[in-house]
Amino acid sequence: MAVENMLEISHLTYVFPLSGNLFIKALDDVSFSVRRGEIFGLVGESGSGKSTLARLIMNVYQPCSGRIFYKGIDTADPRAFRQNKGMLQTSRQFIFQDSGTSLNQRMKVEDIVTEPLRIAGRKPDVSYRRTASEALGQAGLNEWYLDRYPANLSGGERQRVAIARALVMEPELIVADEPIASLDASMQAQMVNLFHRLQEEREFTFLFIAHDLAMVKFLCSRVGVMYRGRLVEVAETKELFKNPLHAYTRVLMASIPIPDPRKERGRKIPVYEPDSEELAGELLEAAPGHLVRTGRQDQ
Amino acid sequence: MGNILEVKNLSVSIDTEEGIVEPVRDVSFSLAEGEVLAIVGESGCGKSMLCKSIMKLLPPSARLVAGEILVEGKDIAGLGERAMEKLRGKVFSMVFQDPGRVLNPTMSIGSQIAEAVRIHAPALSEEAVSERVLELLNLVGIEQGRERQRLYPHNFSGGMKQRCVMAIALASDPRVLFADEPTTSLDVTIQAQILDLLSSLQKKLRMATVFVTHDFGVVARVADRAAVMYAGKIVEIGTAEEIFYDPRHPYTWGLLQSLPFFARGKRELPVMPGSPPSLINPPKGDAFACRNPYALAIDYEEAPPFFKVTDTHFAATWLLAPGAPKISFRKGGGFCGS
Ligand SMILES: Nc1ncnc2c1ncn2[C@@H]1O[C@H](COP(=O)(O)OP(=O)(O)OP(=O)(O)O)[C@@H](O)[C@H]1O
Ligand SMILES: Nc1ncnc2c1ncn2[C@@H]1O[C@H](COP(=O)(O)OP(=O)(O)OP(=O)(O)O)[C@@H](O)[C@H]1O
Ligand SMILES: [Mg+2]
Ligand SMILES: [Mg+2]
Repeated sequence: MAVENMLEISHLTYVFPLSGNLFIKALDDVSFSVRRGEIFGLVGESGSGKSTLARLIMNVYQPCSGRIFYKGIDTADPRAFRQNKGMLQTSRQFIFQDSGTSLNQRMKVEDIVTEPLRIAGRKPDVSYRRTASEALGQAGLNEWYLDRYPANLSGGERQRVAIARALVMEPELIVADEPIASLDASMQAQMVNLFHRLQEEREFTFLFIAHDLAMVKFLCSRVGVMYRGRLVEVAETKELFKNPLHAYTRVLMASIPIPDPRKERGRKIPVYEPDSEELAGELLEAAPGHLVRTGRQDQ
Repeated sequence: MGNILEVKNLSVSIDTEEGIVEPVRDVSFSLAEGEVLAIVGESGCGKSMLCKSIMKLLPPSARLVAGEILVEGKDIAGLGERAMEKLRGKVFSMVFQDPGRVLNPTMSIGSQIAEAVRIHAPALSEEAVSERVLELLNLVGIEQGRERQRLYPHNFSGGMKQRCVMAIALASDPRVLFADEPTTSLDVTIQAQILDLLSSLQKKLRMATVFVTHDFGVVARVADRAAVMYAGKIVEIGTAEEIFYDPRHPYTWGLLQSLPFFARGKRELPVMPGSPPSLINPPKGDAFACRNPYALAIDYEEAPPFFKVTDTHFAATWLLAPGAPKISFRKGGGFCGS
């Protein structure tokens, strides 16, 4: 095998049952893979199933159908999961979308950041405090934050505590759900540079869920685009931005706001009219490595 | 055009074990009817605290220590909670940064929006209320509103929760909306839809908006004016065009330069060196001095006053003082310039 896949998702479907005969199909037959050491970007409409996908990968939910392989282990299989539980808990880390509510409000920042180490029974070389302080430093927060509680932090500060917590385990895979959305431009740049470095120096693999396409373009090697529970396009980042094939992807690209008032103001933003044929079709290879969902076989 | 809101020399302190945090320091600005003022600045610089202090929604450990808040000329800084509650239903509304904390997890989304509608219009019939709820859901782009209104916050995606918070804030037809990072978890197409919705309300209802964001693309799209905050202070304020095309504060230059938009072909995104100062005992002089490659000796001694660039454009940097060295700014040129 030429490239090793860190994560392989095949035909994943997930349905939220609601009351009565009401249900929400959050994921519909999603397949893709993430290579070892790459940063894979996942973008798509709000409500298209990105967070649900992340939760399935992290075993928060159990898939209705389909499989998830992490380093060749079928993690959606309860037995395989139990057998490898320790390894799975330490080598994969999840940065939640809503870090403000996901952090334990009663714990100090130092304890929040080092909690994964304690759970894994891992003693740091120096002290927990030093380890926490270093991880916070990478996330752009100084020691002053160690003894504070989440409620006394700004939105972006809390988000960076969540990032530090994920980094402290030196995981092999980080599933990051909008990890930098609430940060300012310079801090986003600092985090993105950090992710880049971790990927290059330590071969971290990232599944990076985001909606800021400019950041995705800068950071990710490949990108998947989701719409209403389906993956509609997957390609190398350069290729996707140069040659977006799916109509939704094109609308998405055209909607990126331009930081220039004269150009941006009053600019008409196209609207995507869902086309049932386009959405129902299969994900097919249009060019090497470039997959797109299309109803027509002749594309 | 009248000013609906005028904030004068507002300062906020928070008591903590480590000392007194000063997240808002001597902030002044005005907001005209139908105007959108964007507030940008680094994480932790006090943007959310500024909005909350005007709405008097500060945490218990925080207090207004100085300043006036004029709503149509009347000072509300001294008003008690009862009177503020009224104002919040009629004049102010806020979209909080953290939707997860605002929404009540034990109440359906529909009833939460309905509650906000009723506070504003107690006389409305049940039917009219539920119609308005559906209309609001539709406005913020939540499809199948009829079915979804019965769902609870945890049944919604991050971006959908954020839009529900927006629907609640808009339920009262506010005259001033504080929108704290209201589009951070939205994809760009829905973001555009929400921004256009705000623009139309601004025109139709003359709603004024204080829009906190870190996305300069969003500023470019919606803002009439923009204020740049640093370490609790506004350091530059001007029309959107002035801030984008003729920024004067070196901190604004740094912010504009870290945009990925201008980083084509670079391996690393430019980052502003250093980190913001602690808001406990902020340094004397210009708080930005130690990160400012163009800092002058006086920056370490005395905080710069606002220098007037035009009638609408002010910046607090000694670089604008008579006799200071002339420095010009280029976008995408790396922070220190060449
Ligand atoms: N616990 C739940 N119960 C019922 N429905 C849910 C639940 N969680 C999510 N959903 C629904 O599943 C769909 C996908 O949600 P998900 O959170 O995965 O979207 P997302 O792509 O992460 O969106 P966003 O960008 O807004 O965060 C949405 O329609 C949402 O309403
Ligand atoms: N309850 C509190 N007690 C003590 N300090 C606080 C409290 N709330 C906020 N702070 C501090 O006040 C400063 C300003 O916080 P604020 O939430 O206004 O920042 P912000 O500009 O909105 O940042 P962000 O972009 O990250 O949301 C921060 O440095 C924060 O750590
Ligand atoms: Mg999500
Ligand atoms: Mg904030």
